[in-house]
Amino acid sequence: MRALNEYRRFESTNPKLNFSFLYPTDWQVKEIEERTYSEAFVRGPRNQADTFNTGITVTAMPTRETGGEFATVEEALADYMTRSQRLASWRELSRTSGLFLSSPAIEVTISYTLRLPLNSPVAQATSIVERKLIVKHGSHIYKITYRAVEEDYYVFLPVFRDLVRTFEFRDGRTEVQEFYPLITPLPAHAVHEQGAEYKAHESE
Amino acid sequence: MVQQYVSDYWSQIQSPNSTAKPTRSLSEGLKDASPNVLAAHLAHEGTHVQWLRDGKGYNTEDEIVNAEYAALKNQADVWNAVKGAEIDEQCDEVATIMALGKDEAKDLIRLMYREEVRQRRKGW
Repeated sequence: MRALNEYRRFESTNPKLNFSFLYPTDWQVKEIEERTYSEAFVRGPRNQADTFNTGITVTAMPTRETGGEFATVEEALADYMTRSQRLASWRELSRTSGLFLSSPAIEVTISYTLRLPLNSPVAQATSIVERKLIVKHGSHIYKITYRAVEEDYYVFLPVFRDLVRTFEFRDGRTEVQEFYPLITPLPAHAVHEQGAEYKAHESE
Repeated sequence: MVQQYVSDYWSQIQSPNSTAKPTRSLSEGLKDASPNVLAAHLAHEGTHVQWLRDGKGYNTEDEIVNAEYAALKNQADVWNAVKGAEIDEQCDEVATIMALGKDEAKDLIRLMYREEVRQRRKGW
């Protein structure tokens, strides 16, 4: 983990963004409010080709019983996988299920290719790696998504791990989270793992 | 006349502060494109022109992202309606990104977004 003075804590007055986490002081955070979801968008460095930023987003969506689309993390994951599979050179690199902050969670890593800049006659095929943790907590489903071009993915992966490790729901419960680093350092070797990378224990 | 930076294919749209009618000129990059591809790109750039005619700006990141999302969505909708068996890497890619859903598509647009674009459009 970076030194603590290199991080600041995200906290929002928006009750729909009822979570907090640490992110690097030199990254930019933005709150987004849409009709069907709320989001904290964290923008990291630009890639060398100046076509794509590394980024982490935390998206909160109501569950089906509260007006949303999905009832479970499995449903949300299935929808995401179905939609994303149309992307060029799509591959599933890893999948892990378990508990995150005592709530059911699934994490998946995919890769795909985008031609960047989009809609440009000089676009270059660019490999993107995307890691997504989906968790159901209370009346919402949350997606914590890390995206980067392939050459930057492992450079900034520690930032994503630190964000996840310091993530807290601000609903009154105090929890101490244990973080288990990737079992295999290369997602390509971690297909369909069933281990739980993130676990949490409630404390007094 | 102000250069339009988000899409490189259609090269010029007009500042809303101008008294002249908005015009668009076609990049040579599309000179051999099929009518279906042209229609999709016209839908994209026409959305940007309408965005300005509606008095909406490009002064903030949110305004640019929302305008670009609307333009890409219209491009994808037209492309999906007319493409048939035709393959076009760019229009197919746009349609795929839009099919990811609004939250995922807008996240990708934000990550492609350049601060430079907002700076150039300040004062429109």
